[in-house]
Amino acid sequence: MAADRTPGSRFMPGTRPEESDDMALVGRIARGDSAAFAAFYDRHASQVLGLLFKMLRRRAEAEEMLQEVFLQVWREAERYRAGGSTPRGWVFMLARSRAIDRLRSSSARRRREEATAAPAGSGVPSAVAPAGPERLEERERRRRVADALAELPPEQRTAIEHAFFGGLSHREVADRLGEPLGTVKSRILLGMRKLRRSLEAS
Amino acid sequence: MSTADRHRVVEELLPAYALGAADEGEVRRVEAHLAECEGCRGELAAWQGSTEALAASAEPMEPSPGVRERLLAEVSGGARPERSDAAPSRAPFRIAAMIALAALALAALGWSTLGQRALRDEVGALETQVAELETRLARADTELARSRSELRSAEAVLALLAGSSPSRDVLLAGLEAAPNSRGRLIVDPDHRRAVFLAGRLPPLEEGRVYQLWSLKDGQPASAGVFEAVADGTAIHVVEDVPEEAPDAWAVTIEPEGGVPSPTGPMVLMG
Repeated sequence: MAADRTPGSRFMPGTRPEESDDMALVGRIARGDSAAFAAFYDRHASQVLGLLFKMLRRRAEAEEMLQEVFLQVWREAERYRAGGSTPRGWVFMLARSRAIDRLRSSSARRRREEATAAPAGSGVPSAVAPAGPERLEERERRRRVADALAELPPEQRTAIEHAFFGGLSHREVADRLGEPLGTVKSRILLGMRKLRRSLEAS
Repeated sequence: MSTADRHRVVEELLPAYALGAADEGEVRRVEAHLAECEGCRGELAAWQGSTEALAASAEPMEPSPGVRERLLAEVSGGARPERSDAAPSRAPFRIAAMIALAALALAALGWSTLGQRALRDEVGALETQVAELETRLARADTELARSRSELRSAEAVLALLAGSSPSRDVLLAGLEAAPNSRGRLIVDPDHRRAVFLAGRLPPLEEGRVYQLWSLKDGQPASAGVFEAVADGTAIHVVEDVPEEAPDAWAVTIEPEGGVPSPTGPMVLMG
């Protein structure tokens, strides 16, 4: 994914405490500390698996990829720089790029159609038990995002979800939805602006 | 386009870029501009905050305990290549430490000479065991990798056979050595992958295999070796099909393991 290579420094007014914990953990992982790795896994695995499952729609495949993603964390922790994103954002990005690669492979093409035909957020009946004890704050944060998404006009939300969870480009979203390219671009732009404003306000 | 215009265009592309929805040309334009615009780099970081929130909006799912166990086993077994000097020695080290302790305990019991000899034997036996376990582990890893790649091949074959990927077909006819043999190669040019199916191949002598070749400007390039089942049918997946369509494809009979350029009789060509 392109954002992966983004140079630039993140301006962080008020780093959240769990973020600095994560930074410390990643620093220790980079030095080969497997206890720090276990702690980092415990903090984020269920959320990363949630994202992978939402994208791939196959639990076994998502779990296999979860393992690959965390192995990559172990191997590449020393390459993580507190520049582009938070450690959690970095892991999400690793997970998302892998999932996109998988979605782009031919055997998964049909599945992607299934997945995006019932776009995310429309409440996939989950065949799995929800996560165990989740930190309250985490749940609260997720609720805020869900609210912000729910406030978007449906066509903007759909375009954003196809792009993000389906791993589709502007043009592919346009093809999928049968809408003109320009329309899709502006829906994504307007939707993202609105999403950011509501997230920043909450 | 003026610098200010470029800036405005890129600013509007940043959300899509952070989302991963920007097309190739857009990505290039954004990245060129980011390199020289600090304001946009800051903006991008803010957009990445929104995409991170989006990623975290997925309902969390508790992974099976096996994933954690496998990961921890792997990281304490030296999965990080640059640390392979330190980590893998851990298990033998632990055994060595146990033996040293046992030696101390035995010495304390006044069992020195007898104990030492017994210990030496024990150390030898343990070392053999460790070596054997290591070999077995390495073999298991290879097997796992092979199963994974077989699974991937199977998926590729299914996708091609089901016609869900765009493909082109090449028919191969039997030559003098095997006039009844037939072959069909289904190529998926997008993924540079192909499935080769053959029927009525003649049985091979011990130590011989079939090898598939692509021919371009008279130059053969190996596309892998395969064997046929008893009734002479074979299925073979080709990865890394040459980007430029070859002039022809051929199958020859070669020594086990294959050869860099064809030496044996040609059985199929098309």
